[in-house]
Amino acid sequence: MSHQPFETWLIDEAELSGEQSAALRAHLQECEQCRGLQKAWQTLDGKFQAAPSLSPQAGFSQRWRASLPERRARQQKLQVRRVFIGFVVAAVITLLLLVGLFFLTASPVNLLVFIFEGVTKLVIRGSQLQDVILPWLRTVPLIIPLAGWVILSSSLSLLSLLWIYSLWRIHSKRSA
Amino acid sequence: MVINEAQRLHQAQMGSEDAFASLVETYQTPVYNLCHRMLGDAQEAEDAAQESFWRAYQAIKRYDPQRPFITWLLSIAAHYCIDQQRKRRLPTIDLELFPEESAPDSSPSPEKMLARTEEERMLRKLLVELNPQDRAALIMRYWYDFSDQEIAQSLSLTVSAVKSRLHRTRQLLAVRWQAVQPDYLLKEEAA
Repeated sequence: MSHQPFETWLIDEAELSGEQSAALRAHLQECEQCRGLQKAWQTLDGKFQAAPSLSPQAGFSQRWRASLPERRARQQKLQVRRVFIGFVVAAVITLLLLVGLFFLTASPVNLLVFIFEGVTKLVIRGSQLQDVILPWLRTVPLIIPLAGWVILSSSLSLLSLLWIYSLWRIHSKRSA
Repeated sequence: MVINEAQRLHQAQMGSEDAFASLVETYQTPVYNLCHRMLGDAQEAEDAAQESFWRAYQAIKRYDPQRPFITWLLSIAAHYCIDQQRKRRLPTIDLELFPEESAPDSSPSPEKMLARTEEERMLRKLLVELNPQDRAALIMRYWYDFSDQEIAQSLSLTVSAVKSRLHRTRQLLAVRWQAVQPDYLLKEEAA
């Protein structure tokens, strides 16, 4: 036995014409399955209609307001992270594009020459720097008096202490 | 001075936290009810409702005043709950964990209380077993009396998709109800 369109009529909220209602009634007298479906759906429909709206615990809006500063801070942190990630991604993409462009345009021989030239230049620059720095290092201790060295090393020590203290303060604030 | 909802919405859109807080006060129950019916747990519903209001607060400038505020708000809550359900992918919930409801009850006789609790459990069990989007459509129809058009707008579906989802869901529920009914009816008749 076909249960269509009767099943659809029973389940949906569509309004039926007189003829359709009569056809449905006739079908229901014959069909136990559709009678069961009708009874089940009518019961459930009634239960859904009667089910109450559930309310939150008292103080919901106060809790929402109280959570705002934390939510704002979290949102700000998230935005900073997004911007940072955006920059990193943009930088990586640019670098990859440049490298890709370079590899696409340069021949393997040119590439080897470029690397070899680069390494050679680096070694030459290093030895030139050494020639400049070494004589300077030999003469500076003679120019600056002992008191100057004491002031310089004390200032550096103080700055280091200040840096460590700042780091400790920031860390303890975050933990709190 | 009594401020109407349109004014509060306008003030909220202009950035007034007080105006939005008063909207939270007004709409806390519908949003919480939707979240509770969707997630089936009081604590999760509280968190989801709070998060939904936060999302609405952030997006309030994009709200179109031509559209009913409740439809817009429940759309945010429904999408959030559907996402949560998809994330956890655990549609079955231990029904023993459900806490007592805060719904008003004027006849607290033990038998009626027991029957109501039992009935509520059955309804939740049936709801929880549904696909999240079908569940949201059904909740919007029954608890908020939303039209097919409003449900479609809230859940980003077409009207025909809403119609077919509601039809399928009702049919499924009726079949499942028939499966659990004999036992339940005996209890109901005995009561």
